[in-house]
Amino acid sequence: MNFFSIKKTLPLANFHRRNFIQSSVSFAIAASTLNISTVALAAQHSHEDKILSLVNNKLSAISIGRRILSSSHKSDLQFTSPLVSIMNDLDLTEDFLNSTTKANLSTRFNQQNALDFDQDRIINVNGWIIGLTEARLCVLATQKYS
Amino acid sequence: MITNASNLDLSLPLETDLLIIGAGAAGITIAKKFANTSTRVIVLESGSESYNYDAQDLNRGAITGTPAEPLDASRLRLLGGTSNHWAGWCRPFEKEDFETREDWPESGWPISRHDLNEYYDTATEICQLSRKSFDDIEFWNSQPGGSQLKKLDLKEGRLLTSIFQISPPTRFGEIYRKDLEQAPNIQVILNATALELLRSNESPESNSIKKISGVRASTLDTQQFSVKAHTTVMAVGGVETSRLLLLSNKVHPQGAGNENDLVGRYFMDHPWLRSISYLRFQTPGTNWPLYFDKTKVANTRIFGTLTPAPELKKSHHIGGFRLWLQPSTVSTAGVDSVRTILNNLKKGELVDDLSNHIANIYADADTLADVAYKSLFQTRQSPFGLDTKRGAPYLGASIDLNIEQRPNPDSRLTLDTSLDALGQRSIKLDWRLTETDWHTATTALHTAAQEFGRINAGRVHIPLEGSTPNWPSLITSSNHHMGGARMASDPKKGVVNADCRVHSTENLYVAGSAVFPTSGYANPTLTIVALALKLADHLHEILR
Repeated sequence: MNFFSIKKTLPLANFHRRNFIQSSVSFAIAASTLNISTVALAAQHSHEDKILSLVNNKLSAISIGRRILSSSHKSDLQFTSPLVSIMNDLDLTEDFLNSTTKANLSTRFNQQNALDFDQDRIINVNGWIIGLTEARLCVLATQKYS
Repeated sequence: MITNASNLDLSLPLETDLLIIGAGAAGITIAKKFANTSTRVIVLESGSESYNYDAQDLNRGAITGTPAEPLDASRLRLLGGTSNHWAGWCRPFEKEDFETREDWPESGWPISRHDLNEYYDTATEICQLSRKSFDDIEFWNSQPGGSQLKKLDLKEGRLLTSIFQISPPTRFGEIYRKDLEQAPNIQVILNATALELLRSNESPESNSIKKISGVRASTLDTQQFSVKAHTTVMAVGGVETSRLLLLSNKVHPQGAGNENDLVGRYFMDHPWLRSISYLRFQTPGTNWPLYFDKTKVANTRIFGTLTPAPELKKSHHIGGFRLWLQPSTVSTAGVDSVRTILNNLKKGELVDDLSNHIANIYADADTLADVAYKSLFQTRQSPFGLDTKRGAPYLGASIDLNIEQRPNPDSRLTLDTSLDALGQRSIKLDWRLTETDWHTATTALHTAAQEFGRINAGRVHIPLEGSTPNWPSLITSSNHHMGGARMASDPKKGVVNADCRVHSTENLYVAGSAVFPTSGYANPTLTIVALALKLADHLHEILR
């Protein structure tokens, strides 16, 4: 039995822990595996799309985002404008986003993520401890795709 | 000489200079120090040279409060005592474990780590360890087989890597049997259970400092006898110490040394949360040999644990803890869900998000089948290709947690109404944890999640929530019985003084973990042996 084939059949409403952790953890994995490529982000993409390109598994990110938005974090101001918050925290200027590679963006994201954990900017989602920025990314994915 | 009590003429009291009750790690360590001296030593051992069900049954006791390992299974009555089944994990207590902390009630030993340093060094030899300096990673790296042992880059002031050495483990009754047998001044008497301490006629009723004349003892077939001694040492373990003191109500109506109602109180263990958390690796195949393996280096197996920096303890007002990792090649999501559902059912509750757990179980059927197969057939070989021996990469690690229990006067040992086979009241343990202990546990896991996230190692799942204690059913004790006869300079705060002498007596001593005022996070045996060596030095002085 291969769970990788099963997970795709799981309803979105079901928050699947394995999906969750694959998604949250895999932001950086995506960075590390794709950093060989220095293909510039397509200029026509919106800033939002560029940032969301860091998400490795949309399905899982949406699940996490929904869980955050349906929990006590719902009214948390930290999640009201996830795109703005991420851009501010990662110091993502328009010039940077227009010229950067996905690898560079991932590096900056990973640095912010490490800082989040270091400074205790972390949240508990169904028992999993994740960084604030990656949590915002999930919320952003939820808002964009669902 | 080692002999069975049944083979002795017990019609008259036996006499000796030094009576040691109990032939476990502490008792044997002290006896060894007197081998081939002019001091006559008698060692009484309740059991025999091999496991005896009748003797073992004397350990039976009731447990209330927090679930703990059964008292008749966690201790052993035979030559060598509980060292006959210990796992051998060794590490000294930290310097700060001995110090008084403003935010940690009842903290502080009347001795310092410095006072024990030389004894710890000797204790490492007695416990057959290879290195006196435990955390000297350069040394371990320089030894064959040790070059791959690397410490994680943990943030200063948060977590530390603390290395344990594992004793073979030393079975004191086997390894040091010859020393005891060949010493002409030592007589080890097996099948001799101490029933009560006896008060000497020399100590007048008005005298607040009492003298102990020896002990009344019995064989398993209830033949009673007494041993008269100049000095008596109780080395009967962290539970029986309180029991024997409380049973000795002819010394004092409330029990020997119990003038201030302290005997049996402040009982501590290292609460153990097994596989309480799960670390999912960022990168499959992550391998940290120092933390994952018991690596044999310089003839000793060692492994690393994560412990709090002193700054973390101070800033969060928590006790010590030890996190250790067990790597896994399979995800535990399904296993965790089964466990969560079962734990809730035991409490008569359904889980909140049942559909999610069922999804986990459904998706994790392969893992569950694998776990069930290995459990059923007691094997590590997997029929599903999930075996580590086949080189499958580690996907994560389960996290075990042991914490330092805050000294709590209500966590205590008392005498039960039930009687054992020798007609003695058995013991009852009411093991009680506090909100502080909960805070220590949750802070430990939170800090680990923080650090593993910071170094981008992975994400941690923590099932404990809230500021109010809600201990999971997985919690248990570590068989590290400590307290009950705590050490303090002030007789109103402790049963024994810095020399381990019972405050209210002039010639009764306690060896073992019952005297620990605080419990640290390290396994107690190395400290038990170090303290026994220190006590032996003291006894040499007074018996000279």
